[in-house]
Parts: sequence; C-alpha cells; structure tokens
Amino acid sequence: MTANASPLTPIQQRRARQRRNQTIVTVIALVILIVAWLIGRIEPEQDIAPYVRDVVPDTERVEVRGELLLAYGHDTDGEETLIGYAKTASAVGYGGTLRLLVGTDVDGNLLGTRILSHQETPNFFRQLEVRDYYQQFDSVNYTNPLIIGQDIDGVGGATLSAEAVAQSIRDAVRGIALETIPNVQLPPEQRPIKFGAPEVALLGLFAVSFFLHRIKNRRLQTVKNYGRWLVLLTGLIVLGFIFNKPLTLANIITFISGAWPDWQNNIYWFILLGGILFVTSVEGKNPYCSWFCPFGAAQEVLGKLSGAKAYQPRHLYSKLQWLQRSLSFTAIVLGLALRQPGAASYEPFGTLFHLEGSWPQWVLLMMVLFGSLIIYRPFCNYLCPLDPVVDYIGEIRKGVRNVWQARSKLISSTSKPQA
Amino acid sequence: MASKKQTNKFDIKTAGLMLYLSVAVMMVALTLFLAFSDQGIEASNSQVTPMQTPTILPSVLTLQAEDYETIDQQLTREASTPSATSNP
Repeated sequence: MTANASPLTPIQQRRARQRRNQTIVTVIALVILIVAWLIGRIEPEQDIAPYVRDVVPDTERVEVRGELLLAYGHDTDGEETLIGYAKTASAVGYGGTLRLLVGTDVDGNLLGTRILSHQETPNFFRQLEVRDYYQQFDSVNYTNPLIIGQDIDGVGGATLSAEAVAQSIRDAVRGIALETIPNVQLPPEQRPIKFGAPEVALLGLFAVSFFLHRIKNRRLQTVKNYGRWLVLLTGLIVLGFIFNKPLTLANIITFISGAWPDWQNNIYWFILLGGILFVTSVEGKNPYCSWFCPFGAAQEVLGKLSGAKAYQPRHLYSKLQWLQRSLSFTAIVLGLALRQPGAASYEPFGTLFHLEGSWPQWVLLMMVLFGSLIIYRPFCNYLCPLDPVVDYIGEIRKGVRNVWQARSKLISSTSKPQA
Repeated sequence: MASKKQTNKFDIKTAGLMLYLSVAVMMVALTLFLAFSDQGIEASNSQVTPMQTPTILPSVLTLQAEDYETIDQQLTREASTPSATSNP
C-alpha cells in the first residue's frame, strides 16, 4: 500500500470484498466446468463384438477387420459361412453424438441396428421407437438415399435425433458396401441444406425484436409495446407450439462440449445460438428471453390475464439468484461430465409444447403455470437455467469492455506527455 | 431501524414464495435424478432398434423360393407319400 493512498470507506471495502468473493467463485466454477468437460471427453472403450448378434441374426462368430466386423454363422450343411457385416457409425443429434451399430447381409441389405450410445433427452428419444421410426429401415440398402423428407419420415419433436439415426445408418450401410462389395456403384451423397419455415421465423423474430428494442423515441413506445406482444405471441405459437424449438440447456451444453451438429441440417441451431451470442455481445441485452422465448411468453400471457405482478423481495432476491445459478451450474456440470446434455435439460418446455416429460416435469409445469397467474414469470425469475447463462455472456461482455476501456485510458494517458 | 423491523417480520408472501420454490427445486432435482439414473439413461442408451419384421437372410429366401426342403423334411414326405417320389 502506498503512503498517499486514501483509505477505503466501509461501503467501498464491502464492494471490494464482494468483488473478490465473486472472482473466487467464478474461478472455482470455471475449474469445475473444465474438469467436467475433460471427464466428458474420456470415451470408455466399448467392446461391440457381443452386439453383432443383435444386428446380424444367427451370428455365431465375429471377426474384427479394422472398423468392419465380419459375422459368421453356419449354413444348412453345418459349415461356417460369412452371413453379414457390422459397422459402427455416429452422427450428432439433439444432445450430442449418437452412436449406432449397423448390420447388413453379404449383399448390403440392412438387417438390424442397435443404439450403442446417445445423449438425447430420454423422453423424446423414446418417441422414435414409439412411433415405429426404425421400421422404415426394413430392407433398405446402400442404394437408398435414407434422407428424411425423401424416403424416410421424420418424427415430430425428435427431428434431430431422427436425422442423426438416419445419417448413421446411411453412413454405415454405404461404408460396408464400399468395403465389401467389389466395384460397387454408390449413388452420390446427398446432404440437402435444411432451411425452411422455422429458420425464416427465427430470423424474422431476431430482426424484428432487434429493431423494436432499439426504439428510444417516447412517441413510438406504443408501437414498441404492441410490437413486443406480437413478437412474444409469434414466438409462443411458432417456436413453441408449432415447431417446439425453444432454446434449451441441452443446446448450451452441446455448444460448450464442442459436439456441434452438422450445419446442413441444423441451421436453426446455429442461428439461435449465434444470434443470442452476437446480439448479447454487441447490444449488452439478451434478445431472446424477454422478447420471444416461447415459455416466457406463455407465462407472460397467463400473467397478463390475471394481472400478475413481479415479486422480487429485496432482502432475498440476490440469494435466490444464487439458487438459480447453482441449479443451472449443477445441470451443466452433470451434462458435460456424463455426456448427457439432453438429460441435463430440466426445463419443462417440451412438456408444455409437446406434452412429453417425466412426472416431476409435469408437476413443475403445473406449478409454473399456476404460479404465473400470481407472480410475473416465476420460472424465468427463479428457476430457468438459461437466464444465468445469458447473464454470464453479458458479464463477460462487461468485463471485456472494462479491460478495453482501461487499456485505452492507459494508452491515451501515456501518449499525452509525448505529444 | 424501521426497515430492519420490517425484514424481521413474518411475511406470508415471502414464506409462500419460499415454499413454492422449495417444491419447484425438489421437482428439478427429481427431474435430473430420473433423467440421469440408470432407469432413464442406461436402459435407453444401448438398445436394439425394433424392426417390423425379422429380416430373413437372402440365402434362406432363395431356398424358400425354390421349394427347398431339408433332408428330414424330404424323408418325412417320402415316408408319408411314397408314390410322389417314385421314378417316372
């Protein structure tokens, strides 16, 4: 301490202590996140030979040849004969990488598939089985395009999972044919770029909310208010009930984990996350939550109907914010470490918009909907795991700006004497 | 002083909020527990994808198309209808 430094007032001392504590908590949280991320990267060795029987029936012996598994059985004379092949393939679904074992006969016709691992939300992934999705792959082979919308029907509410399964099967079946059938002629690889109504709607919502948000003129406040309601209701109906594509914690965990989906099929994912990151970084305000989050809109509509008021007790609110941050942080750490982003997504968004969820999610949804009649956006204010994440992006922006300003000040102060 | 007295007073609204959030947090914890538990993940993680009909091997299909019979089946048929297997 220098001799001429003025002593800090008690308030300044308290603020300095708070800042120091926040820095310590941030550093510890960052270390835990890195450790969770590293744990999630460790892929346990999986012996897949025992599963070959599931995808190539009547297999009695398996021979491993590189990435290809040769399945042997016995013919009617009792002689051992090659009856099929198996191969693993993977693709990125909603929550992360999905890995499949695919079996074909010696002519390249699909015999069976088995999910070796996935990171999807269990309730939604189960929909593929419930809605007989896999049965569409009966008797397909390497000549089939296996593209959703062409020869395969998707599953509403599990679109990305369905696409990942189709892509894995397509890659495996083609891979087996290339390795085993001499002079095989594969049809050209098709990767249609998926850009449709959800993407257009999302871009439109971003654009309209961005411009409305910038309105500062008091005379245009009515336009801004009506515009906000229009954006909110569009988000609720289009992103929520029609497409069921709200931002979820699974999206954030997938983003952090680095297992990004392919851009051709997931432009929506890139627009949503990129848009939020971009606007929050540039504007310092989160464009999604208060403008077109469909779940936030549902709460706000209910609150409007009943005249619900915001309730944030001053002496408790900062502690309750820490509770919200802790829930979000715990879910992110679990999702990263256990490589299950889909399972970490505890928000009851899908429960409302797609009527799918575990029983605690149903209870939570009922509580939120009834709570919205009394308190303004109870889930957003106290429980949503995304709010702390988006706030954190804003904090990073503030930190970077402060460092930048301090640096600029330092440069200008050092350059003055020279001038 | 006045504000200190107010914060110490029992507030039904705050108590209601605390109770509401306690149950909500419990539901969040249960959601996470169920999703990450063995029942939720492990069972669905590694699963055989059901096909509508069990696929029959092409060799078996070929044999079926040519009215193939195993030796046992032929013997059984010969025993029951000897005239059908007699030389022309």
